[in-house]
Amino acid sequence: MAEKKKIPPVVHLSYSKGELIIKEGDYGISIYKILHGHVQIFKKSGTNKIPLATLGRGEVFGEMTFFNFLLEPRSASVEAIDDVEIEVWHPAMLTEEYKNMPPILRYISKQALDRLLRMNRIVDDLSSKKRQKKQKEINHREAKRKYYRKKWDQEFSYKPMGSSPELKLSGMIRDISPKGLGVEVAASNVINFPHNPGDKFEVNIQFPSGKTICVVAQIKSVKKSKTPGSLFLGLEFTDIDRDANKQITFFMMS
Amino acid sequence: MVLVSFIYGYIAKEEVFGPQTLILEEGAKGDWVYVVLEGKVKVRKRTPKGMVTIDTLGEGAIVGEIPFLLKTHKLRTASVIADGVVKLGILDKERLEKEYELLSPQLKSIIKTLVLRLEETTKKASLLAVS
Repeated sequence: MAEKKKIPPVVHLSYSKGELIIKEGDYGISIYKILHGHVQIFKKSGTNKIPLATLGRGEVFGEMTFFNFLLEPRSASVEAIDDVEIEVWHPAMLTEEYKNMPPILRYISKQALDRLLRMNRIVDDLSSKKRQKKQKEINHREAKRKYYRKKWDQEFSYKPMGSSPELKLSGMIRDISPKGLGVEVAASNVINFPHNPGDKFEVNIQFPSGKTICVVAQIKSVKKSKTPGSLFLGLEFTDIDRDANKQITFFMMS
Repeated sequence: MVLVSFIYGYIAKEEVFGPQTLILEEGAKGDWVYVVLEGKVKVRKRTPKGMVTIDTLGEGAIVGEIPFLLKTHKLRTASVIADGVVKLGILDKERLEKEYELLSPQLKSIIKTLVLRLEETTKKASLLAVS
């Protein structure tokens, strides 16, 4: 039976908050054990930092390179998130010990490593499939929105429900759908009359055919418009007769 | 995978299980390590949306090594079910333990970390598989 192995030499290092300990893509060989403090493991995707895990006292990182026998670069970065003290192990002696350990233990470790690599691949595959599916859904939703909404720059008039018949506010329609309108109105309109989500207006729309419809629409959203001094309102039709509906559908198909 | 001969030297006992027998149950206590001698086993994990099969292992595969190497808890991290008739060898734990204890603390930590990552990643994979 093997004699008790000599303990490989270790080095102690300190890092302060924010310092990089391992950089993704580098070819490093050391293995680290945290004696004090915390580190964050993360990957970079463009300029985004994707956190993978936070490790604390007693935990080990940088071990994947050891098992890959130094053939692969570091797969993630590691940063100190507070004051960190670390024990650094040089892998040479450990590699020697790993190679010479009882075959049964090497056999078990090798299987665990192979399974880990396989599980990593499964996680990568499933996450990218999930991302693709999500992207597809977004694309589909956007395509649907484009189909249902038509861009249109057309002046229109409106007034709050129940206000005097002489009152006539005006704005610009920016898009139209069978469900509602996206409109731009002068901020001064808002000073004189409330324009809050839920408020209802009588809206007159004139189509290029010359036909005019009158519908009731309710504010769904109020946003700042790109045009200075204007607001962008999302309006939803709440009271619309069959003829008006037909006019809109007809216009949208044109 | 091929069964290597030195494994036989570690087998304390052999056991045969009928199809669909639950050999190890996730969450149950136990840290004996097994090797598949004949047949196949399915490795299944619990998720909020039910059980999911994450692996099928054949001849030569080691089963149940996670709680043995983790040492922190002696709980099974997945269920193992006989996929047809299967013959398993139970490894001599005392001997295994003795050899493991001779490793340097560093190498033990590294192996433990590996097993910890395996457990975390398997959990992640099984959750992704049902989502």
